[in-house]
Amino acid sequence: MNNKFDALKDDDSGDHDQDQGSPKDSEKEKTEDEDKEQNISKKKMVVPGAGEHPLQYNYTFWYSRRTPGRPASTQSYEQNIKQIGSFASVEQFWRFYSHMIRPGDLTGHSDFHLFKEGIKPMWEDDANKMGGKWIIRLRKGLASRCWENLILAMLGEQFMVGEEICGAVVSVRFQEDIISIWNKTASDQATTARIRDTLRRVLNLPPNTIMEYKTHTDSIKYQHHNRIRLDYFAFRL
Amino acid sequence: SLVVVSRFKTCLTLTDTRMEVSRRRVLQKHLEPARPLRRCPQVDIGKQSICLILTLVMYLIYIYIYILFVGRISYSRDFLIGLASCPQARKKPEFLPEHPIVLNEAVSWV
Repeated sequence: MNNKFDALKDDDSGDHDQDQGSPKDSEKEKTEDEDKEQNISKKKMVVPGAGEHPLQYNYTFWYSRRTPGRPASTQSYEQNIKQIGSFASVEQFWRFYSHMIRPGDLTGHSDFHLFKEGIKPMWEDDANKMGGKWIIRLRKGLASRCWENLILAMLGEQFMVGEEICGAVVSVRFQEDIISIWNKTASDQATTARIRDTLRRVLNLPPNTIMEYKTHTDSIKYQHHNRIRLDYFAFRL
Repeated sequence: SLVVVSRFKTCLTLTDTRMEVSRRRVLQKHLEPARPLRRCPQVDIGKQSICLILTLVMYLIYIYIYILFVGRISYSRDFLIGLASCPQARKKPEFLPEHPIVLNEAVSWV
């Protein structure tokens, strides 16, 4: 079944498997506890230390990994995603970054997310629900360098699109890696075009690189479609 | 006729006297220190206030442009990478969770 699910899954770009299904009771309790922990950590306001270089926004590192051997349909995406920590200055960012393994060294179906503090890396978050993302698929071996360039551009406010940027994701997959950057307003073409052009520049992409923009509403539709297909195959099996 | 001549002379002398007087007055004006001192401060205050207003307007325009286009804390890639090796950036963050992706020692990636 798992293999079939893998084969059926069309959208594998960045956020992935954001399942809407209700978790079991024990899982619910766990989720609530985690939510509480996350709320407590949110209340602890991160501020730049004395003499440090402040960032325009505070950011939070997240990590998610799909548990092998478990069908994705029973997993809660929110349950799988783990908050690593928040930072408010350049120095604090490097503290986290230098104590985390690089995306290229990740194994399995894993994602690193770097989002503005207060925005969850989920389509349903208020900041994301009207938005979308630019997706770039990378051959193996490029993810670490591209991810670093992408997040440095985001933290350094190189995109010049005001409040529009929500966060960035690197997704490690079996045959390729994917990086994506999320913005708030998918319908704002001037903004999405500017993000695309900045991406090309900061990642030093060749002119023929395929870049895909996907709205989160489309991602939700595709996911729903995939779940129906999965249910159909499950019924036949 | 003499009377007329004498009057004429008197007039002439009078005129001459006036001219001399007027010359003297002109000279005296230049020599007077009080008037220029009274006038100059008034003129300077006017210029200063205009300059002050202009500076203020320029400053407001500058702030407006700064907020519109620049008013963000931005850093270049090279600058950010330059800070990666400073001692503050090498400390392990507090409350970092125990996790396979978390390293015990800082590693230089750049």
